[in-house]
Amino acid sequence: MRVRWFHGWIGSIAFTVLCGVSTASAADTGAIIRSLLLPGSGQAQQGHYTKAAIFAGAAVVTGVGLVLSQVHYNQAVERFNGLRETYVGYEGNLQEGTVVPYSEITGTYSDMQDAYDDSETRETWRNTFMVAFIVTYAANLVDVILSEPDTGERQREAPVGMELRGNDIRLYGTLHF
Amino acid sequence: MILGLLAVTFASFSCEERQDFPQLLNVSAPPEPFNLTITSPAPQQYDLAWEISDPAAVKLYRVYIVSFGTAELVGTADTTQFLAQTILPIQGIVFGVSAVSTENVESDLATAVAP
Repeated sequence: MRVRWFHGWIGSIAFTVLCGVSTASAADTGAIIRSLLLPGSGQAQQGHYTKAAIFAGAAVVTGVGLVLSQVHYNQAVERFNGLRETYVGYEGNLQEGTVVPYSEITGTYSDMQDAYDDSETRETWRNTFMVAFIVTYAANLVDVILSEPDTGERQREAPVGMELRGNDIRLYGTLHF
Repeated sequence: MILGLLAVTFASFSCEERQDFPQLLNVSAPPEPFNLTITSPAPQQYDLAWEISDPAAVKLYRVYIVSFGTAELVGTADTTQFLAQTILPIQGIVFGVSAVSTENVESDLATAVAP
């Protein structure tokens, strides 16, 4: 299941990039490759520094979260599997004639249940970070493919302007991304 | 970033798979000894006696000396009596008795302080 999942989203990203590269101009290809290697860097090359910072920050946060949550999940699984092995082993011990305290059996069962719940919680966190990372990465690629390089012309416009239309005065604002 | 992705991918594949949650073991709690009494017929000799609610469910009893939170096995008994001896006289010695069921499951300890 996990293997299919990884292949699925890696395939999706590869497909998006290939489509993007095939439709983008030669000048944009460099930006796409940059964004593929480091989210936000393609936007920075295109001159969209705010978006570059947002994508880079989101990728770092979700990436670090993904790695940490994966490590914690591995630890929780390892703990659960160890307790499970001990608990299942009691059956064989009892059949072989080894005396096992009842409190030890129930205590191990309780610990195993806690470890299982803990691993489920950590798995949810891992999956959440995984989805967030994939969404960030994909959005970063889609954005860099669809965005035009910022020539700086728009930035020369005043953020707030005013124009006369007949007897009316029109006030307008411009936002840059 | 690509290296990070590869690292996470590698970590995910190399980690242990979580196994299924096992079924509850089919063992029942053994009856616990109660009314443990200790008499000392002679110095360093302790005569232990106790009661049990369901003797048929018990295979044997285990007798311990309990000190500092740990229990050291002294011996086993088939009946609800046991004669223990110590090499040195010990003040306030604590004995514990547990029952072992026919499934080899041991009950909690019933404890008492020797006179």
